[in-house]
Amino acid sequence: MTEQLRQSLSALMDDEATDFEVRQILKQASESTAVSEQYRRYSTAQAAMHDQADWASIDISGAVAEAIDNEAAISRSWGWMKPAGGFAVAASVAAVVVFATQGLHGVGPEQRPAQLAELAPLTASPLPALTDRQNARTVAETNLASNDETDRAASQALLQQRLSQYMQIHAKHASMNGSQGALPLARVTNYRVER
Amino acid sequence: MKAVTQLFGTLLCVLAFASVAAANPAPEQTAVGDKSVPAYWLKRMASGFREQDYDGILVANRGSDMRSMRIVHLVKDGREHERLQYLDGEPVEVIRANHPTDCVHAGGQLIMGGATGGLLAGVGRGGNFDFTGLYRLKLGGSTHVAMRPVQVLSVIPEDSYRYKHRLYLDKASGILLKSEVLDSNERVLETSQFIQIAIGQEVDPEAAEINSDKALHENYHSLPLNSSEPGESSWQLAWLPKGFMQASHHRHRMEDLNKMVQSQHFTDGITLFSVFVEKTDSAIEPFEVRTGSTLAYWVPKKIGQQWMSVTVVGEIPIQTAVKLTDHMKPVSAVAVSKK
Repeated sequence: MTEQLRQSLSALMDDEATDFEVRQILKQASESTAVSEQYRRYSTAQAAMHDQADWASIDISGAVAEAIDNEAAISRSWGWMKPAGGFAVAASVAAVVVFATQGLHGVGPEQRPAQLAELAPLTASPLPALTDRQNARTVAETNLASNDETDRAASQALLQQRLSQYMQIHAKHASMNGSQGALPLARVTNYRVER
Repeated sequence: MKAVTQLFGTLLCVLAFASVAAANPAPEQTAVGDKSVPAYWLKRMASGFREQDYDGILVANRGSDMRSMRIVHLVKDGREHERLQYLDGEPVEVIRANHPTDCVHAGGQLIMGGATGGLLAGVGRGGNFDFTGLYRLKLGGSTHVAMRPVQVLSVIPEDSYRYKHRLYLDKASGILLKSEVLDSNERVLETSQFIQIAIGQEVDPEAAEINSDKALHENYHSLPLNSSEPGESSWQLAWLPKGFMQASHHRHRMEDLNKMVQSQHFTDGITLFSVFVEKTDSAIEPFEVRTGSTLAYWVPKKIGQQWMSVTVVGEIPIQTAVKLTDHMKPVSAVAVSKK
């Protein structure tokens, strides 16, 4: 592994990796297990520094694959809300990595079982923090298997409409509770006022 | 009807103010009048938008998407009147009127320093700005925006849960003429900029009059969807990034499925995010989409015994949204930790 790649991995750990660095990591991770192993070492070291456990069990290759899958799915599905190119990959990987670890951040070991119990996983999961994500896939796969393409398209259209509504509500909240006047409302498309 | 609307607006203002005051008792007044003090400009920005007349064309650039709108803001008899015209796509005109200028909402309250623990809580203490780990303010140079001299102010986050803002503030009025949102790699995610603006005496007093029969009328305080009303939430966040407070919470009836959606809205005075929660029978795989600096992160969560669709929308990094959803709990006395 090159020094540059090590630095990129380190940057990813610190959430400071650029798109280019993330793509390099993705590429190397798909070709060699060395990247995953190095990531585990970094993770373990960081976990030790922060008195956290279980980092070593996180599989970056799975995270990478999931990020790529998600990006492909999102790119196919969305119109005006398309993710912005490479940033989507970076965000996705960060999301997966962060998601896989955030359950450990800020939550002491003594609290983890309670969180797990509350989440009530549908399927057994070796990684506590991935429970929701894995459950989601399980449920989604079940549903999608029984739906046809028409239903799926309708669901996506509904989802897009809902997100548009959410973003409008948020923009209005921002214009009211922020400090930048009506500027946040410039983010709204297809402004609606319900009567 | 107009009187009722005004009364309703005033009542909401009182409630909003009381809510903030209750959360942040015993305000410590701070004197910020020195233009060499960065917080002076932040405070002027917050008050400038509320207290002054302006009429300008704003352009928002978010990646490949560029939109423009005209904003007219007039103050008459202690009340704000605002007219928004979307200039691209389907023409939409929105009138928001009769908002008392002394009605200070959560973000303004935090910025103006009226709240203990607010952004300006440390202002005036020997010139040392104690933003308690939230942001570091840094004055930049001077330049021009829309042919007006501006002061550049950088608002730099102290943690990774929020973005950096570079603000270009009109030297005469304090009004924000240009805003850039940057990520941790200094990439500009979004730019909003007035390309033309009249301020104060330059503004035509008739500019806020209704220009079209199709103008939409909206109360300043009304959140947009039908049957929007305050309501108790069945969930809460057991973790918030340091300095954030809840500004409001609502229930919305979504027309498409006739379902109720709960929302909670949070601010630290600079950064804002909203969390939307609705019941669902089928969980959709988590995903995130982004336009400019605005993120929408969607994830299914089991809250209590019910599967819920949770969506975080805000100008925040993805790790903030993920951590927020990781810490969603049923309403059952979970003390909010801030770190």
